[in-house]
Amino acid sequence: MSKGENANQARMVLITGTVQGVGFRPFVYRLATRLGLAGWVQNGAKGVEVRLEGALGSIEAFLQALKAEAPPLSRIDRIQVREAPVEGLRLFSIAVSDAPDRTADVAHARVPPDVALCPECRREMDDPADRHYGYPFTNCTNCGPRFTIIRQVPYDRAQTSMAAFPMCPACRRDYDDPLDRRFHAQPTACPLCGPRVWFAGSDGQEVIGDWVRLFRDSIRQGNIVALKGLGGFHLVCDGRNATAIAELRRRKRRPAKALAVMGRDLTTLRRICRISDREAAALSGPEAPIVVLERREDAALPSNLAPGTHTLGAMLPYTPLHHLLFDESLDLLVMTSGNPGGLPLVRDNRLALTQLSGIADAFVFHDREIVSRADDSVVRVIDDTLQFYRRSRGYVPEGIPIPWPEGKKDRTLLAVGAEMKNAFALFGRGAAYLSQHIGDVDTCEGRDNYLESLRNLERLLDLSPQRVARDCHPQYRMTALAEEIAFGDGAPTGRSEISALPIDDIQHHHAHLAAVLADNGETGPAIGVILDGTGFGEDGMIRGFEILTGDLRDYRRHFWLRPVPLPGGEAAIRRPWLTAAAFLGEAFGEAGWSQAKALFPDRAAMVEKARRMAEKRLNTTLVSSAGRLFDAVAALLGLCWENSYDGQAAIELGERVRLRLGLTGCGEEPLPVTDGLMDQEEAIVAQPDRAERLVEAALADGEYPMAWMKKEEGSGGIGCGTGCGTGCVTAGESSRETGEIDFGPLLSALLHDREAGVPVEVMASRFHNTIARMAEAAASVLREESGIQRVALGGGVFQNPYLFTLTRRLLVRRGFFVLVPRHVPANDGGLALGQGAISLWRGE
Amino acid sequence: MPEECILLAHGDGGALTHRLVQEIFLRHFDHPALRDLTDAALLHLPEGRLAMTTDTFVVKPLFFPGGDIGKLAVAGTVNDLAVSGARPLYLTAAFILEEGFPLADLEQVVASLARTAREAGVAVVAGDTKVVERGCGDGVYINTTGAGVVPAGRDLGYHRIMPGDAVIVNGTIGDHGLAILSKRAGIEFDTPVESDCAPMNGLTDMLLERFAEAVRFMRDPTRGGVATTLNEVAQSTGLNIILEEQALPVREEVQGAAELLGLDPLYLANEGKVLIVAAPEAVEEILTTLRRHPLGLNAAAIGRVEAGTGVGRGPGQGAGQRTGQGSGQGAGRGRVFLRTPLGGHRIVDMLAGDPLPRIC
Ligand SMILES: [Fe+3]
Ligand SMILES: [Mg+2]
Ligand SMILES: [Zn+2]
Ligand SMILES: [Zn+2]
Repeated sequence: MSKGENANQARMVLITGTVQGVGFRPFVYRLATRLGLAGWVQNGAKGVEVRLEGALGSIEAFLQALKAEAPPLSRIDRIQVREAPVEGLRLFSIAVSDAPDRTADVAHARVPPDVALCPECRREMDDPADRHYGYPFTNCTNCGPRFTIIRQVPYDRAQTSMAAFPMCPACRRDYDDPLDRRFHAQPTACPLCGPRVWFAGSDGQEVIGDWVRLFRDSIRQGNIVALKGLGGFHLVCDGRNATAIAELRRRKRRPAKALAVMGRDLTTLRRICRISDREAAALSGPEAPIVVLERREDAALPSNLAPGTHTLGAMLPYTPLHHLLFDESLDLLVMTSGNPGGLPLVRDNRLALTQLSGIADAFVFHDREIVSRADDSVVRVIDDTLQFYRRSRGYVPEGIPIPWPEGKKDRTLLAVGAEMKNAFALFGRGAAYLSQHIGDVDTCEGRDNYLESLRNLERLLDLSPQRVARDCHPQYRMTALAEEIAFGDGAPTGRSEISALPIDDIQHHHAHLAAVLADNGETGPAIGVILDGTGFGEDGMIRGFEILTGDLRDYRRHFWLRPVPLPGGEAAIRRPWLTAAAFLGEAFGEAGWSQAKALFPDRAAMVEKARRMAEKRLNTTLVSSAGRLFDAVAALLGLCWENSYDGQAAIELGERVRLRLGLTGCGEEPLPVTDGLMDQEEAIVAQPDRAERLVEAALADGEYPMAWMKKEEGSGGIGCGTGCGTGCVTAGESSRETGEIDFGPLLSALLHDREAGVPVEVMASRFHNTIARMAEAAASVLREESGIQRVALGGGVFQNPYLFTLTRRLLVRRGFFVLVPRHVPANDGGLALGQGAISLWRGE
Repeated sequence: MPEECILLAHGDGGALTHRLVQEIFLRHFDHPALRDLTDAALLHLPEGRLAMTTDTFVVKPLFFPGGDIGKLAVAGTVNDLAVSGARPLYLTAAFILEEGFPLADLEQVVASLARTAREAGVAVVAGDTKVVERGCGDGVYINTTGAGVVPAGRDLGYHRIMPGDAVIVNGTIGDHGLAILSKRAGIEFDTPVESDCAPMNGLTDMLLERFAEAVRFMRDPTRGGVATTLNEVAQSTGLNIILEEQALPVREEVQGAAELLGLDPLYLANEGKVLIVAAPEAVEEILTTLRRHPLGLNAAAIGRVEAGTGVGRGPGQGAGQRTGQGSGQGAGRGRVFLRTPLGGHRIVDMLAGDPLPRIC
């Protein structure tokens, strides 16, 4: 500021990254003022632009502090500095945002994800003297709604659903004050001027009175309340009331799938779950996802919260509204997504009344419109690594930087995603932008949700895809939808047949492999151990067990599970007992079918029908799938005969292993918390003894034989390739004549164990050990053949903590470099990342 | 045993052929135009537009619960005429026989074909027989060609369907497809499922006589079932069709068996069913009329026609804006939806090949 002896210098600084809508300009203002610099800061086309004038030392101090002190929600990707002529400015100022009709380029400024309530706002909410006291929409630049309320970029109040609420003078003052925490916080609101909440009966009629009290009373009476939150409605009931939970399950037709809870605070959750530092950090972070935790044995919880598991999906209140729900005696709420089965999350009051009235006894409504749906995200810390089960609220629309081919900087594309657990992805400017959880698209409503979310994200990111990537399953509805999108239906602007976008068909498991590669910033080649339920192989076989080598362009299949004719196709997937019968029939012929009849006596007649269907290939599909093998084994062990939800049998089988490997409280010390991107492998390698102990403890339960199929031997009577008694899979070059892996020996040994009365826990552990060892053996063969050191683990089966941990540790022990999913789920929710990465790299 | 089976010589035009024609075909098909075995049948037709159709029947197995290939060969062709608004009058029947096919079976098929034709009031007026070598056929294939007349004043077609119309079916769906499939696989159910195979010209004629104006369109949902037929309607008109899951008439035993086999009754073939698109105000009367007919006892209104509003837009509050060009009278591409008890609208696609699992 002062014109001292040091000649003043001037610099133009461009800061890119997540730097808008996160309190960056006030931060710059405060920093510059503190250092006595003149100039200005403004939101520009590509990021935050700063002009600095002052002493060189101060400018240097500014640049250093920029990174070190940046606001918590910001993420600086790059700081570019260039010299500029001195203009002799005397003050530092915040320039007003450009007019809304900025060029398309301007929209690059990113739309931030929704952020959980910050501690300062929390304090104000609890302070009777503050004007935000008890106000359910309190927020500031460090917290609050973003993605779910934004209609248009640039991110300004007028372009959000807060436009309907003109600010009162007090809020306006905060908003205009560069030194206030609410400076340009677009959703700023208070009880005087902001949205309101009300309680309504089952008929939707407002009940006059304090909504918080009415809500708590209703919950205490055992009612189910549909509550409008941030990204949609929740169905809420008392988490400690088994009767209410049972009623919710009955009405929602959700007999067994685990229900998520929201706990009053971390202390409450610690009383019912084991929580590591890493899990606590995830729970309390700005994304506030549901974290799948280990339930404490001494927790007195209703048994119908998460039957068949030792876990509990829990989260903390993430909006001020949620904080208000709890009190001393009401500390745990079931919060399940408010949608009738299979339909998109309900987000508006009117639709809630029609779609949820059969489930809810009462409603809590508010009048802030939800522009974009966002389901709760679900994560789990497995082997000290954060794994996504579902990536949605709090993360979307954050971009995931991925390897980008040189010379294709301008390329944009859409990866449409998978058929179920769908999320799509837009690719552009070096990153993949995954959509929120879309879910199923087999209804009109699901399809509308998909197309609307696509249009929204295209608009918010200002990305217009030039290319479409999709799965090659001929009967995915998504396959047809991709075509319609490519031809201009449902896109924001119509395209004619002549200008239709090119479409890339991407094989399912290649996409899973590519997702793991791209997520780790790699292009391959790598060995891919991809285990899931269903993916279409180009040969027409339904696959879910593929061991590949490949990169972002191409792949080769080397090993797969011996295929089984599955009678009834998709219907069999809901019937693990039928899958088990089909596996036995394929492995042991007539004897196998008879055995199935003996194992499932009350279904013997149906087994016989299934046998005939399989024989005549009536509605019978050849399936080579890990998911189906898990189903079959779960049924054979008597754990789960019917799937009432997707993946139930596999989950319940995974829950029965003896060691809770890779999970909090399994007896071992967690690895030191490494900061962010430090590779877990390094940590494991750094503690070889510990890793070794863990692996040995797991393997001590033993394993079953699994063998490579040999051509000459046909389909029957295959023994372990090496003849070792307990049947570890050791794959020498010589024994590998086809890539088919036989499950016959495994099933024989398993049935033998069952006969001998071996405990289920041991059998479950042995089964898991077998799969992990098989992956290890296959990877070893492929490394020998190809020299490839990297192994990528992908597919929904790797959401199984034991399998994930053991496979990873076994591979690390063998000297492999193991890649696991980082920012997207291992399941089909992450598929779009791989589809797009391949489409991007495969070339013209 | 040459007498008991079809020989190649049965098809060479010689003595055996003659015997076959006289002793089996002519004995069952008795019509003046046929008796003289002239080269062509010379027929009188009443006033109206001539309707003609042809179909070849290759069903396996030849005999199934509720019918056989002979009955099917009449019902299939007669129904195609009937749903076009025609009164079926004449049939031709051409047989391709496989060497070794038992004569007794042939006789049974022919008798069934003749009986069904009599019931439908149509005359078999021309025929043909060929024999193929053993292994080159599945016993017997039959082609039938049918001719009929559409009386003046009847006008059915896609062009008459409009938003608001109701979709009606004359009875339970999926019976034929399931009967065939389970018989083919040798699967027996506690309550056997019978094919609905039957000529429906009596029923359709009655309906058109009473509701010439209200009935807009008819189709028999054979191969591909109700789902496929309605998809054709939706695509041809650009209109949406919303089916009510709870209104679909499906026999309990069919539902149970279909569930086990992993099949959807909406996609199973029918051979005695007609889908009727009709004006909404006439629905109740039409249903009452249908239910008085033996083939319409379980008639039900199963859905309605709505304006097709493009890709992103369904029956709910969609947001799509179609920019392309629609076909037909609708503003967009027509689709079929199934409204479930939960209130969702499941998309009912056209079946393309055998269903493959999609669940991961
Ligand atoms: Fe998958
Ligand atoms: Mg036909
Ligand atoms: Zn805040
Ligand atoms: Zn205010």
